[in-house]
Amino acid sequence: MNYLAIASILVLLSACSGGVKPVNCNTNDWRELGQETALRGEAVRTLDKYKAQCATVGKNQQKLFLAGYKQGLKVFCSYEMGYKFGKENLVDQKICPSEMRSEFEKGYRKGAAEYADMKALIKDIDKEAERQRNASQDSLESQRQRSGR
Amino acid sequence: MKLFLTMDAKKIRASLTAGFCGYLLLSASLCFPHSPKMELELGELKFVLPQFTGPYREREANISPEEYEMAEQLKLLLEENDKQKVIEVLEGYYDIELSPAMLTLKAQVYFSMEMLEEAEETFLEVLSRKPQLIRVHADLGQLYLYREQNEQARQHFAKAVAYGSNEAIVHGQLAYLNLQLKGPYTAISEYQQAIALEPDNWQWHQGLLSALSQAGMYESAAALVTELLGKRPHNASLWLTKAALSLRSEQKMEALSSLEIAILLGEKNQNNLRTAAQLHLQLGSYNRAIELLNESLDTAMLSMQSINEYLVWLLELGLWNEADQLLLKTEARLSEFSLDDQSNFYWHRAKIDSKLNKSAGADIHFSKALELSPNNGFALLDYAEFKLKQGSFVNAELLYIRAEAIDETHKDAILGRAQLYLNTKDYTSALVQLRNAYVRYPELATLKENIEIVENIITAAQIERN
Repeated sequence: MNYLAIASILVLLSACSGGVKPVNCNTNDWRELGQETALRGEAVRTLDKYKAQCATVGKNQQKLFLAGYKQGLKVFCSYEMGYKFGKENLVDQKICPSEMRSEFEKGYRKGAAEYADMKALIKDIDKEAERQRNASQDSLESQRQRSGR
Repeated sequence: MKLFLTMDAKKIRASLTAGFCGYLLLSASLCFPHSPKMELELGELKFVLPQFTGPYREREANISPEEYEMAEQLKLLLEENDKQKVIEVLEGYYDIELSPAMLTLKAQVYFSMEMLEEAEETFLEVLSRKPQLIRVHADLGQLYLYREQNEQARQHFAKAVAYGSNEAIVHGQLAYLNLQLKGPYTAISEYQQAIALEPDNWQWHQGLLSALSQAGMYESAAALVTELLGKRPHNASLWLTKAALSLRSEQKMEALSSLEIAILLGEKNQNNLRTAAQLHLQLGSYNRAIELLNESLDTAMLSMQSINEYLVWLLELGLWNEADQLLLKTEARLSEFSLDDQSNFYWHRAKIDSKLNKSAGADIHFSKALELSPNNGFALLDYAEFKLKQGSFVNAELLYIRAEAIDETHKDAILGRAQLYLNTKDYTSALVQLRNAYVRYPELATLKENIEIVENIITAAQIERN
């Protein structure tokens, strides 16, 4: 399975929807739910919200969720995912455990820097466009003044 | 940030001592025909479980920056020994939210609170995230040691060492478990490593000594003992070990002198006193042997088995009076012994009477021995011989027949009865006995010659009659 591809889609979905994903409390696959949660870059505390939504989350379900979450972190806490998060200017919720976080952070910094560069470039382009717009307006104005004279 | 945690090691130590105890037993057989093996019981090899935690090492795992505040709080709680509160705080987090260092602390607190399943699960969780954490391998090893899962304990100590643990205790524990589970050769280098790191720790020296002895490396063991005795000349257990090693290499005089020093330093083990007495008997210093026997009689509650052994030696050496004295001392405690042991007592009594020509006393004591234990084969044999010498052939014959019914005396009894028939010139019966004996014990080559002689006698008698 291409975790990265799935993760990208999930990240986009997450970015679009915001908040906690409503959960089917009767799901049989709490492990998968845990994995998806990690891949979306959400904190493990999301489980508390699921617990609040579903009154029947037992110890076993919780265990499965946490196992899946841990599995998901192994994919999520990578350079590539950090880069993607950084480049899309998504918030790093610091979900990677200390021993896994260095690669993710490295990627995040790189992605964030590129995002900043891109933002600066857009700003420059905007500025240039503004400048050109102003210049053409100035030119028109002076033409008008010359013809009026 | 360093967190310190100590556990109540006392309980663990108490329950572990029995499991960790072993002793070195060296033995050498004697030239006495009926003597038991000579052996020395050495002091128990004690294994002391240390406090299992200590400060985190930089090389192991660090807490995350975001955990500093919590760590401060936990440090205070630990200083107040409020482990329950520490657990409450840590259980407020999902394990994945805690750094391996913090999770290790959680496992250690569980361990110190004897919540062993939780501790094991948490240690394993840490290792699933950081498989090379030396401290966790060492702690988990101790947890398994505590639960007497020695093979698992050994595996984790081995991993701790493989990942670079340089703690003497870890090497020592691995050595001990290797010694128990994998044989002495696998323990020697680990004990040496532990000694290199902690040269003054006595238990590593003891362990190495035990491993060397068990591996049959007596010269090295003897050299180590000599070195240790240089440091601790008043250690009875070391002298005992030296004696055992000398005994192994058949240096009886050296063994005896080491043993005597151990006794002088307070060694009181009955078996060791017995071995010393046995060595003295062998080397001809009877007075000291008797003195040791008397000493052990005065100071310990000798078992009838030991008394039997002493009596066998004394009677072998013809020390009748000493044997008599020994029996007199034992008589007061006779009612404490089983009927079989009481029977043995009267058997020895009768033998001494017999040797000292006190026939009436011998007769009474043999009867008493058989009254107490009708199946005392040796008493039956000796009584039969006594009756034979007295010319009481019918009684002797009956006693031999009874002794033949007992496996351990069957051979002597069948031959004794044959002798009886020869003495009474009943050659036909003697021949039957000898033939029966030869069928049952073909290894007795001289029987064939005896059979031929008796056959010749019978034939000659027939010719004479005709």
